[in-house]
Amino acid sequence: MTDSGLAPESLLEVEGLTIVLRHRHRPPASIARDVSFHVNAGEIVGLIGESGSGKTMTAKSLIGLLPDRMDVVSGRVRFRGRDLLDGDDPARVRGRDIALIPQDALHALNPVKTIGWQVGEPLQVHGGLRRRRIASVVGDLLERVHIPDARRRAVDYPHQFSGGMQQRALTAMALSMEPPLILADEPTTALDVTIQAEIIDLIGELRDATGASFLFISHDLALVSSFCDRIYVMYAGEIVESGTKDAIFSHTRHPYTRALIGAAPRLAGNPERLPTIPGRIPRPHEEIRGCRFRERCPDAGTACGEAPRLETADGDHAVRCWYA
Amino acid sequence: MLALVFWRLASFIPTLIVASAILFVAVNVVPGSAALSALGIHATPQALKRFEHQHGLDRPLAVQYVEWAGKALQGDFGTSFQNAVPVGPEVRKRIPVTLQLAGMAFVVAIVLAIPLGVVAGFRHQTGTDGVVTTLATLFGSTPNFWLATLLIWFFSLKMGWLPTGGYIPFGEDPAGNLERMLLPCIALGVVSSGLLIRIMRTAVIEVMSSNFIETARSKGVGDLRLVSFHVLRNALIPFFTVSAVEFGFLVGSVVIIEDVFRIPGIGSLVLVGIINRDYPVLLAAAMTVTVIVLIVNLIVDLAAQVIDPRQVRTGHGS
Repeated sequence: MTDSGLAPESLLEVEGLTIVLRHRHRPPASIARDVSFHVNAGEIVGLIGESGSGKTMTAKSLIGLLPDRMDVVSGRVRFRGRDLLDGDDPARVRGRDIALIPQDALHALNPVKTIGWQVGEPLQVHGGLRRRRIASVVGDLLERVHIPDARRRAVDYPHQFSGGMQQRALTAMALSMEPPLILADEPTTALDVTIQAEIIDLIGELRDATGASFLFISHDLALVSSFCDRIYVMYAGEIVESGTKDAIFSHTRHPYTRALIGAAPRLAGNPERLPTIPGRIPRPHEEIRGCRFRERCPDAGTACGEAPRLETADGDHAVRCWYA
Repeated sequence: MLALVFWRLASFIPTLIVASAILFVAVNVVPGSAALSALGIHATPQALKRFEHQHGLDRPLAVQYVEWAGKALQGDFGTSFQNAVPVGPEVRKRIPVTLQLAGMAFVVAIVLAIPLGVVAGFRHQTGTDGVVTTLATLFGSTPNFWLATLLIWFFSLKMGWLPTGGYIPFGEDPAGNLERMLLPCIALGVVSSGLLIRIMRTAVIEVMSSNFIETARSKGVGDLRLVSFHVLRNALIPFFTVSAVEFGFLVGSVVIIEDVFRIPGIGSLVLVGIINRDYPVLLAAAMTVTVIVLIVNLIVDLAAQVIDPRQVRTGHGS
């Protein structure tokens, strides 16, 4: 395990997390396999992978929001020393200790409630604050995420906000209880590139101001590289490479990570054909022997018939590949 | 909003023209003769001819229609073939009776449908859902006149708790009025709730699959708060729209229920009009029912719009 030598300031420790999708006619399929990672206080950690890699479900399992047919079958999630998978704790930390910034801002907001009401709801649920006090806190929160004319716009409905503003409001909502950990589930995917950059800047700014940690889930390695302290790369339910931003970028070791960096569109160079990763990510129920990336890997060799383990190479940098 | 009300009211005009024309043709093509009904089978051919001429029934249908429509627009619905009583006042007198019956029955249907639909939708694919869905099917497929007879048999004849029928105006004796209205309202409302329960259940299931439900959960919102603040209002928007249609069916059932319970409303007037071939009575009563359904549809649509902020213009924003 890479996370054996945990630093004492570790806020969230996930060890050997395995999530399965139960199926009526087939054996359960694994969504996440033996996933381990940690988030230190005040850190922004990126969890990167294609859609279907299990990154979102990994994050949702932390707060007990897996869909009906998915279960955590093994593993340990320790948050501030408490075991979240033991008993009904996940529901208790929701919104108060661990908040979620959901993807797809428009649909993540209730269309018939005002923005201010929704931003203040965690305060109503957990805080026991008076209504007027909540309204004033909500105004502060909306100002903090730079919503212009925040106090007046609090009575607007979601459809009256632009996509970027909706995402800001969701960010304010996550901040409302000043949680130590915020899970950001692709918060910029549905937005224009310029708005994306604004949200990224906002998250960095909020981390500096509040000291909260962020687990930033994204499929966009280039985006994450700009502001994450550490990065975990997930493929088909497994973490294939992890390390500091510099280690991942400057000393890339896993062929999948390399392919992801290569697949990011660049403005310079010959844009006629965008590089792609051949093949597709295996479905959860597909039986795969050996390395799960083997089919798509340009470097695959004879050793890959056997599944590689995640091995720590130097310092914090770990990789799951025989040839790395 | 005001513009919407205006356009909806304007759309009543073509609807009423088409509805009245269809009615007019329908009552005239069904077998049977108004004159024969009014004068009896022993009337001489000359008497029948005279009757038809007197009431303009020997003229082309289109002419009859235009004349009828022209007078109706001025509030004159003619006189009954049977007893020469002016139809207009007779219908007007009966409007509150039918409005009370249909309105209270609709309330019964909605009061049953919302909680049951919410429970079934929230506990989707559980035993509770199964029980409620079965109940809804049972309610919806029960003939209302049969349920009415059953209710009379049990509550009136066997237990002796409620009168078997009749009508007392609410203003005269509120308790007596409600006593007599209770069973017909239940008979109508329960049957109508069958469809409405399913509509509400489907609406709740739809809302429950929305992303914002997960957002609410991620904030630590519990089940009760989730249903009351996040699910209910969103589910009511489609529910109200469909319930307006169901109200139309409910009013149609009023005809039979009024007859079973001997309630002197518009429905029983429709029935009398059909049986006696009393065209002025039938047309006036049926058109009144049409107008009631149109107005209730409008009100319910407006209610759905009021609870959906996306439909209402507010002061600022884009």
